[in-house]
This record gives sequence, structure tokens and C-alpha cells, in this order.
Amino acid sequence: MDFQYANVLFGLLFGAGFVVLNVSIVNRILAPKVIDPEKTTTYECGEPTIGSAWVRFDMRFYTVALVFLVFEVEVALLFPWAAAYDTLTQAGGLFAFVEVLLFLVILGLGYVYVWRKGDLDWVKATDAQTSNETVGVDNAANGN
Amino acid sequence: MQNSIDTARKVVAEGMSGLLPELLLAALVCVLLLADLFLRGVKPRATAWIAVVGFVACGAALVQRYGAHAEIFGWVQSDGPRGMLLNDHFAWFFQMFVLAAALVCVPMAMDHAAFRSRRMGEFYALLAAATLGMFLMASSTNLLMAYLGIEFASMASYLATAIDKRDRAGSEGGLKYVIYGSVASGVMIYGISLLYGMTGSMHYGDIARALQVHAATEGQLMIAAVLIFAGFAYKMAAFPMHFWCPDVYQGAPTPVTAFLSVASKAAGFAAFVRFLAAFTAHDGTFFIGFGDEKVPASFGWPVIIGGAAALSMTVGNLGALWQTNVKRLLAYSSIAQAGYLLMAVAVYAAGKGQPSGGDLAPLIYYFVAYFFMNLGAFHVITVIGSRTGATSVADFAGLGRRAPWMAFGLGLCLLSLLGMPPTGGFVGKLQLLSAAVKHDLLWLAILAGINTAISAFYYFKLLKCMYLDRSDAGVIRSGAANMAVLAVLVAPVLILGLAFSPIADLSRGFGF
Amino acid sequence: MLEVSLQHYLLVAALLFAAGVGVIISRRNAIAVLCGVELILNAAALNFVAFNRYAAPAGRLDGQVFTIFIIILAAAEAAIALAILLNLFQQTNTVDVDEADTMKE
Repeated sequence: MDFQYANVLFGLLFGAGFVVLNVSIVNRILAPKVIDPEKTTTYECGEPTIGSAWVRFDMRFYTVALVFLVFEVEVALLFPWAAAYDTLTQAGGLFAFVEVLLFLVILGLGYVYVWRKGDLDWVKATDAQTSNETVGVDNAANGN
Repeated sequence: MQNSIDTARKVVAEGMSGLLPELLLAALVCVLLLADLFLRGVKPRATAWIAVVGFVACGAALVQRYGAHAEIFGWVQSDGPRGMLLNDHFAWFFQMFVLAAALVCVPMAMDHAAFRSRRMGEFYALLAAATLGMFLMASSTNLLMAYLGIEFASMASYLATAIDKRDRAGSEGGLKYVIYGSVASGVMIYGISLLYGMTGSMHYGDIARALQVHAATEGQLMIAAVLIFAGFAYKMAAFPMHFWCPDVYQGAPTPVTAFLSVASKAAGFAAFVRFLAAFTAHDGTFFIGFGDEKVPASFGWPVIIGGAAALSMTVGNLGALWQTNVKRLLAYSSIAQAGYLLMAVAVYAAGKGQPSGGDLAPLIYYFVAYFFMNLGAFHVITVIGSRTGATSVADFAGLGRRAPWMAFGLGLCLLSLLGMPPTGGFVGKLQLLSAAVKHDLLWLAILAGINTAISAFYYFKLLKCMYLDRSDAGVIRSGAANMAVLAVLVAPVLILGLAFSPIADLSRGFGF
Repeated sequence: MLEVSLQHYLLVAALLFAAGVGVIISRRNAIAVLCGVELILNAAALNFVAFNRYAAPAGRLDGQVFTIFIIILAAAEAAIALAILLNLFQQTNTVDVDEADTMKE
């Protein structure tokens, strides 16, 4: 037991030593040294950026993200159901299926709600156009 | 395997049949949301009437359930069945209470200035969803169910508070509510996890049994209990979780404030009393953590709750003294009222440890009185506010002349909140005080007396403004429907104060 | 070798809880406060799973089930909080909870 762990330890040390040797020592000896201003800058992939990356994102991203968040976690409830589905159907027929169907229908109601309210449209109708406004993801309270 | 599935099906089938009021509420939520989406052409009030019909149907189903005593949605363990919800008299009372509050809030919402021209299907859907959550809170016998009920009710309330998107105060109130609420529920759930670790179950009966065999030391229990109490105190708007109350009550649309201050508080108390009963077991032989002395105390609960009650009253009443906004003033008043109600719970906990057993009748009676006096006060504020835009105490100047009946109703409700005869509040408070004295909580009774004296200052400030201050503003027309609602709310305040003995007798039937 | 026992889970959970409370107390940014709440919820979830493994009666999965509900409720609560926050942000351009006190007098 202890001996086997010693093997692992040895492997770890060997691997770490190999990396350190190659990257920092052998590299330094073999690589040609040509200094160049371009080379000393921080590496960025793609084009040089224009302006700051710290811009404020459009509010609509957040709305969509909120809707996504609510629908995404439903999977947490479906996983245990899916795991037990075989045994449940063998013993109880459609019982388990109908139960989850009901859950999904109520969840679907939330989806219909968001859709009708126009929160999935990129260009949303303004408040003046929709006679009745809402807090976007009201279905959070009802979908769960 | 076959056997256990069959059991599960049977449990669900039985549960569903005993769950008709809740199912109706759930259906109502869906119907209201869809009605709002697809009935574009109909009049703004249509959704309100759908809500009324739904609530009445739910009430009829609830009346049918009266007298039931069934624990549903359970599982079977070797030593007997366990459940999630317990439909008994206690649950029935609080469910009726919450439903009645929701029903009263519908006409208030129809009258509210910001709502009048809109369909508001979402608002009524949120109201129904909150009611459903409170139903579950009132009948939960499992910490999981209690927590889910609290969260469900809370989330609907958060959105109802911030429903008016253009109103900055409402958004601020909603933000405060949701931030403090999620902190409180997080703290509570951590406490629940600790209690689960000590007892191995979340069913109240199992917890009671595990605690009887000394599953945990007093210190451990104390930590878990205080953390869990924080969550319940939040729903009750009691110390130490009362900070949110003034901002939310002021910012929310007045009908929402009325609903929160009455229904949400009642459901919080119901869920807490059920939880408390698990700590203080059934036969009065429950000793814990007190060594060889065998003091028949239920682990210091009377002291913890009594302390929270005393601080709630004091903080609420002192805070109210300087308020100029009427809704904010009533928010502090409702913190103080939570203190009086907690006093009844402390008395119950103290009684539980004694052979006579706990008595919930004072709590029930005070809640009945509180229902009418608080909703009555908020009804008048909604009606006056939506016609004149009145928000501050000074805006109510001369109301005695401008709207005599409304002023009379509000005045009576304020006297009742203060605890003056001949109102229901007086009888309720008298019962509380005498019960506290009987159970050796004299200090608490004295504090409540002092607090009542303090509260007289601000209640009378509003009364003086209505009747003595002059104002040149014209007469306010309140409308026949609002007058009817006012009569329904205010008449019982007087009845409860004058002919109290039948209701006091009745209130004894709603304990455990 | 070190055996991972109940105490270790509880210790981690307690640290998470303490960190969450610390964040809530010290930060005034509403989103940071929500992050702190998330830490507390996860501390509780960890407790539940650990207790279910070590302290619950055999065959019962109460703790695991509660954990699933915690995950769901955390998401729902975050969605509602952010929706209200977005709405307030559109009006005031701030997410600082201390700024949201125009009602106090």
C-alpha cells in the first residue's frame, strides 16, 4: 500500500522535474536570443482591440440570461426522475410519466408567457406598445 | 419494488383528494396568467373577477375540508406513517385567514390608483401564488415543506411588491425585500441542515422523538434553533429580521402592503408554531439540556421567543414615533404587533412544558382581531390615497369632515391596534396579558403594557390629525363598493370588542 | 492515510457559511450580496448531502432531495432578485443597496 503510493509520488516528482528542466533550463540554453519590441508585449490572440473591453452589455442579454437560468435548472429535477424511470414504469405504468408531464406543462406555460410577452424578441416592443408591462421573468415564481 | 410504487400511488391519490383547495389555487395561477396573455380585448376588471371566482371556489373547497385530520403526501416507515402536510383545525384556521385576506385585497387592488386602468392579471396570479405558498406553510409538518412554502410565498411577494415597474419606491422596496429575504432564507436553511444532522429527519414528529432521546446538546440545538428562527422571524416581520419591513411596506402598492402585513405574518406564525410544537413534545415530559434538575422547560424557547417579542414591540413602537408617512408608520406598528403576537407564542411555549399543555387560543383570537383592524386601516389608506394621493400623516388632516365614514373606520381600527376598549384589539390584548401573567412571564406582560402606552403617541397623532387639524380640501367620494368593504372590515372590530365570548370559545377549537 | 469524515464536510460547509455571511456584511453591491447568499445556500447543501450520507437512517434520501430543491430555489431566487435589480437599475443606474434608500426620512 505505502509502496504503491511511493510510486505515485515518484512519478509526480519525475514529471515535475522533467517539465522544470525542459522549460526553464534547457530552453534557456538552446533558444536563440533576439530582442524585438513586438515580442515583449503581452500575447493576445486575434486583432488588437479598439477601445476598452469593459463596456456595459446590452440589457437584453440579461433578460435572456434570466429566462435561461430558470429553465436550465429544471434539469436538476428531471435527473433523479430519469434515473429512476425504468423501475418506475416497470412497476407503475404511466404513473411517473404523467407526473413529469404535468410538471413540464406548467413549465411550458412559463415559456409561453415569456414568448407572448416578447422577452425573447431581440427588439422588444416598448412599454407604450404593450398595454400591460411586467417584470420579465415572473414565471420564476410559478415555473418552479 | 412493486409494493412501494403501489404505496406511492396510493399516497399521491389520497393526497390529491385532500388537496382540492391547493389544486384550485394552482389552477387559478395558471388561468390568470393565460387570461392576461390571451384575453386582449376584455375589460381591465375581468381578471379581477376571475380571481374572485377562483378564491371563492377555493374557499368552498376549504369549507368542505373543515374537520379533516389527515397527514398527506407521506411515506411509511417501520414505526408508522409520516407526511408532508397535515390538514387539521390549526391549518384550516390559518388557511381560511390567508384566503380571506387575499379576497379582501382584490377590491383594494381594483381601487388602487396605479392599477385601475390595467388588466393586472399578473398581479392576481402573484396574489394567488402567494396564497398557495401560505397554505402550504400553514399545514406543513416537514421542514422541507415549510421551507418550500416560505420560498413560494416569498417569491410571489417580492414580485408583487415591485409590480409597478415605473414606480421607483416599489422597485427599491422589492430589492430590499428580496435581498433580506434571500439572506434570511439562506440562514434558515443552514440551520435546518444542522437540525437535520442532529435528528436524521426533517419530519416534525421524528425531530420530536429524536430530541427526546437527547440527540443533541443544548448548545448545538440553540445554534440551529436560532438560525431557523431567523427565517421564520423574517416572515413574521419580527425582531431580529424586521429591517425590511418599513421600506417594503412603504414602497409596495398599498393592497400588497395590506396582504403582506396580514396574510404573510399569519402564515409565518402558523409555520413557526408548528415547528415549535416539534421542539416541545406532546406529553409534557420533555426535558432537554437541563441536567439533573429536570426543569420542565422546552429548551429556553419561552425566553428566546419572549426576548424577540419584547424587542419587536420596543423597536416597532419607538421607530413609529417619528414617522410621517402613514404606510411607514403602520409598518412599524406591524412590527410591534408581531411582538404582541410573539408574546402569545412565548406563552404557548411556556405552557407546553407544563402539564396543562400549551394554549393557542389567545394567539388565534388576536389574529382574528388583527385581521380586521389592520386590513381596515389599509383599506381606508388605499381608498383615500387613490383619490387624493395622500401619503403622509399631514395629508389626512380634516378627514373627519372630508370623509366621515372612512375616518371613523380608520379611527376605530387605530384604537383597536392600540388596544382600547370597546374594540377587538382590547379584548385580544387583555387575553394575551392575562395568559402571560398566568405562565410566569410577568416581565413580558409589563413590557407590553409600557409599549402600549408608547404606541398611544403615534396612533393618537394620526387620530388628532384626522379630527382636530383643519383642512380646506373638499369632500372625498369613496364609492358604495368601498363603503361596503369598509363596513365588512370595521363592524367585526366592534363585535370582537363587545360580544367576544362566542369567538373566544370558538378560538379554543383551533389549537393542536 | 487521512479518512474524509463527516467533520471535514461540516468544516468546509461552516467555512462557506462564514464566508457568505462575511460577504453579505461587508459588500454593499447587491449582486455581491447575492453571491454571498449563494455561498450560504451551498454550505447548507453540502451539509445536507454529508448528513444524508453519515447521519440519516438507511434508505432515506431526505437530504439529497433537499439539496436538489436548494439548487432550484437558488436559481429562482437569483432570477427574481436580478429581475427586480435590472428594473431598479434602469431607473437609477446603480446596484448599490445603500443608494436604494430614498424612502427614509
